[in-house]
Amino acid sequence: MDQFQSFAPLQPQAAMAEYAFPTVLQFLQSEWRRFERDRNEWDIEKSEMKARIAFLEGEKRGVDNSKLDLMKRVKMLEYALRQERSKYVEQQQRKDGLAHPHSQAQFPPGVTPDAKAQNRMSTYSASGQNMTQVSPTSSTPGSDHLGRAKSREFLRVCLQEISYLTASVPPSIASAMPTPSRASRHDLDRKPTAPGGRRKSDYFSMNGHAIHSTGSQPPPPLLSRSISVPVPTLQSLTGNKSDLNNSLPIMEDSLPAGATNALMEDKVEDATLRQFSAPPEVAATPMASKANGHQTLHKRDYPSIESSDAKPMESRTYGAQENVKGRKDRSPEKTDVSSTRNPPVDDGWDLDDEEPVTVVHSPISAEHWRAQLKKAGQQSTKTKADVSQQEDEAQWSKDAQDAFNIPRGRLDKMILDWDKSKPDASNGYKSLRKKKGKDSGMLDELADLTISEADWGETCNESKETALDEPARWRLKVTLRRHLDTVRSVAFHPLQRSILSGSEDGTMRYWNLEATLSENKRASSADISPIHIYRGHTKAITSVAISADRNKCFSASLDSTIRSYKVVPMDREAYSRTDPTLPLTTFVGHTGAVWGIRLFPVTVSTSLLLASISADGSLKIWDTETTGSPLKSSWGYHGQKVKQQRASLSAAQSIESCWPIPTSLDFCPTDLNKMVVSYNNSVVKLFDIETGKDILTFQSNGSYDATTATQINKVICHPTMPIMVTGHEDRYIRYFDLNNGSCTYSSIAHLDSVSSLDFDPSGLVLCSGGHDCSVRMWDIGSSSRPCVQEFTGHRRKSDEGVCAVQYHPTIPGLFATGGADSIVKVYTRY
Amino acid sequence: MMLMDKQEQDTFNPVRNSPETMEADGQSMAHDKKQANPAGNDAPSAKSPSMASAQRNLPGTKDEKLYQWPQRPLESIESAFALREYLQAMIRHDPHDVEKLIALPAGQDEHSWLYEHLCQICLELNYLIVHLEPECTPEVCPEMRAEEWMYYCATHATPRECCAIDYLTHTLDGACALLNNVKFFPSRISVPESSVKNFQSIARRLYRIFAHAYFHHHDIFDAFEAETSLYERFLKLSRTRKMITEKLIIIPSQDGDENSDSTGQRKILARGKDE
Repeated sequence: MDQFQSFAPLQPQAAMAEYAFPTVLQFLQSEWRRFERDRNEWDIEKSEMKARIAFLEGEKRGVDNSKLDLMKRVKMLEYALRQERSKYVEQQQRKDGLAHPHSQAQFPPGVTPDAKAQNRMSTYSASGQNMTQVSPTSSTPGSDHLGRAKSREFLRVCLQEISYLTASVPPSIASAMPTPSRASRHDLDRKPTAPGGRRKSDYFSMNGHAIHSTGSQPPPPLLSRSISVPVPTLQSLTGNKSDLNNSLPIMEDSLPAGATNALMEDKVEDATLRQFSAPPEVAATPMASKANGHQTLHKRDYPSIESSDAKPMESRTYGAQENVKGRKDRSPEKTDVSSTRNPPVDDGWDLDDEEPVTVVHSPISAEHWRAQLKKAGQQSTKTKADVSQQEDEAQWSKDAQDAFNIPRGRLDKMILDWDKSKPDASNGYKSLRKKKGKDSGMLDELADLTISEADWGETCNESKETALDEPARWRLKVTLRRHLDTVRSVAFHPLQRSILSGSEDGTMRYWNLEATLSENKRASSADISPIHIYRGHTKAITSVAISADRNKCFSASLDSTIRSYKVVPMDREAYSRTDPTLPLTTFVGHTGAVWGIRLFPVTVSTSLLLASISADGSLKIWDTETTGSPLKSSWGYHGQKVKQQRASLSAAQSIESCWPIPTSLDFCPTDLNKMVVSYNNSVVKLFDIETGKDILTFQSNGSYDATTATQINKVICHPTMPIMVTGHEDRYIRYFDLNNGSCTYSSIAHLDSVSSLDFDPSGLVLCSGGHDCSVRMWDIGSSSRPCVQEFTGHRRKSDEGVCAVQYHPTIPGLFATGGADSIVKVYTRY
Repeated sequence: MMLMDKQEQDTFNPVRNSPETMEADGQSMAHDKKQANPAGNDAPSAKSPSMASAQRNLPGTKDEKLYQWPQRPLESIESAFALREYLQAMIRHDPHDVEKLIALPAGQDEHSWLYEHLCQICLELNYLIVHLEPECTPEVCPEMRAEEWMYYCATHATPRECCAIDYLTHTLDGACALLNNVKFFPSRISVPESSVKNFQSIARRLYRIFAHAYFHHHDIFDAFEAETSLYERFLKLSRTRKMITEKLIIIPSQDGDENSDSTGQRKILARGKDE
């Protein structure tokens, strides 16, 4: 801003060819400053991007590792089973008097190599011939480890750079600076960090201290190294800097507790392990390589812990000085603990990198937020419960360790098993520990969070996705494929989980979604049949509507008629008998294709009004409940009054045929006596329902070029506010004030024409569907109307894409689209 | 300030609008869009190329202007539904030129073409049923008959003795369900070899709809046929693609066609009850 103000007076001076040296200098300086600042911004963005890439790559590797690990575990269990069987056979043989001094590790030769090749446990038996087979397996995670190390190192550098750069921008410039995209993008994350800007650097220094002190310690023995491997993981898990010193020792001990538990629960596993009680030195080496798997797995399995702790971390504004001081004071003690057990390198990484990443990178924190929102504030209590549980576990593990005298390396190894056995174990666990309901609740939660092997791959993908998501994103739930041509219109039953779809194939299908929606699967692949197919029209259906109060549904068609039917009950079977009582009325009166129908939003006791628009240029209002003539009123472009005047003219008919044709209509929920109708000359008019007078003409034809290529395709009114929105063929969405008809906002919303619009029942989000096949959700609460979600809805046919979008009017989190690909898609938001 | 904003956009937009950025960072979506909007406003006149040639029925299109656009050659249709669009356009142009309709377009997959035809036939059979519904009530046609034979409805777990209109709708719905089943027909580009056999069962069942209409609601059948030539198209298609064996064809040929009426009828009489 400043430089441009100074720049403006500079121009006339330049014209007079009087370059004052200081002015020029000042200008150059300001320019230079600006460029520098821009450069900084770019650097920040670049490093952020790089860090993100590195992070995601690391994450992927971690996931791959853990997947590999789990696969091995499966093999191990299979192996154990075989073992048991052989034991059984052996016993049988003994009974038969054939006392064979079989060692348990000996197997039928056909089985052994196969099992051993894929089972790391078997390699610990340290038979030399197998070691060659082992090395490739175990070396892979090892190299991954290196890769992770590199990327983490890189991350750390990037983050330091960022913090340096953000800190180096003087506040005066920073305030004047236009919000850089990345910064604003991470608003959520930066806000908490901003007061703690120093906090971060403090943290770095603290970590530096940690590294230093660990470095000065003599390298821990091999065994303890392997034991302590998961510890940094949990440190990063808790992510709670303020509680770090407290929670750390607890966390360390808690891990073997889990392992011991696994040992208790998983007897088969135990048996296997016992048989292969390898010397710890041998076990330790592969163990280290396994650290990766542990880390990532734990990260995945403990989102609740992560998020619960992340919240205080992010939201708390540190009183800084004394807090930091306190932390620093206590930090040596912490490092003592960690240094005795931690491998120095691991420690450095995790403390340095994992947590700052959590702070800076939105994906992770988005995940946190999501989890947090889900748990809706129960977090703080749970955190406490969490800690207490860990304390218990710590105690328990020690006891167990003493009792069973199990090498800790093996305990570590079995942590994965713990995760696996947790769902089954949680019951016994509860009774064992006799904890309060709070605890068990949390346990259940943890159990829920445990990822089963079968879902592993899928869940990983999902969590990656969710990491990128807004807190609540619409996800495809059900795909309804039965229509044979473009689905032009969809309508939810106002109260039930069922949907009506009208298609160009001339049929209207009614689908029961109750069963499918209650499934827990993410996207149901079930092949759903409609519970009824309404036939009756002889041409394509353009619009459908459904009324819960009257239990009626309506369809409008290109064959100039509107038909009404009884809504079939939800429990109707797919192929049941024809019910002759279903068709109710056929509304005949239009002389051209009916392009839209709309039910009066409120049911009055005696009547149910239905408005329809047709290519004959008229708008008709029908009383669907009356026993007499259903047609209530009808008017054209100029409203009722003008039409009556024209009626006397002989040429009325021909004049009327030249009138603009209505394209879409909607009632105004805010003023029930009025309705809006859009015309193909891009004009929207507000009519009085009772009198048929046009009250208002909206300034909606801003981009009208006298062809239908700029017409309005859809008009819709806001459920609670006097706002009307139009979707245009020339890609615009425009917002209007219903009171004065002025356009309040206008933007190009799609890559191709906008075909459909709908308001979220809460009135906060507008959804639009376009012939560019995309569905977009717009946050209308914000003045800039940003797009909050976009997804490809349907495939293109006949230059059409998405033809209908519809929110469920009463059940939140339900949304449907109909498209040119003959498919109806139902989305949910959980 | 305006100037600066503009500059901001110019420099940042290429980065933000790239699809990678959008997909990679869902959180940034809101901001992306915010930035993209004004960018779009800068050039409202630049219409996408597809808009100039958009061939769709806009809301409010008058009856006589529906589908009034030049037929595009198949090669120029860039959609997953190219064959269907092409077929529908040909049918709209002239439903009676059956030979031309069923001829396989050059370079197209035979089975995909057949698939599209069957879908289209199912679609149009809906309208035949609409015409039949007022007349073919459970009272008038309590059993599904065509000529001499009675059929059981095979859409149920155990074949049932549905009345004619139920049989017709169930058969049609069943065929429609099968054609829309992604397990059998996952793609529109090609049809899996294992699914080709389904065509025959679909065709055999659909044929009975025509047969019932012909033998029991002859007027409706004739009127519908005069309008759409649907049966003729279906028959020719089934014959050339060997979807129906000749002995199953019981509707006598309209114009004294070769191996049709009497022999076909006798043969069918000799056959046992189907299903």
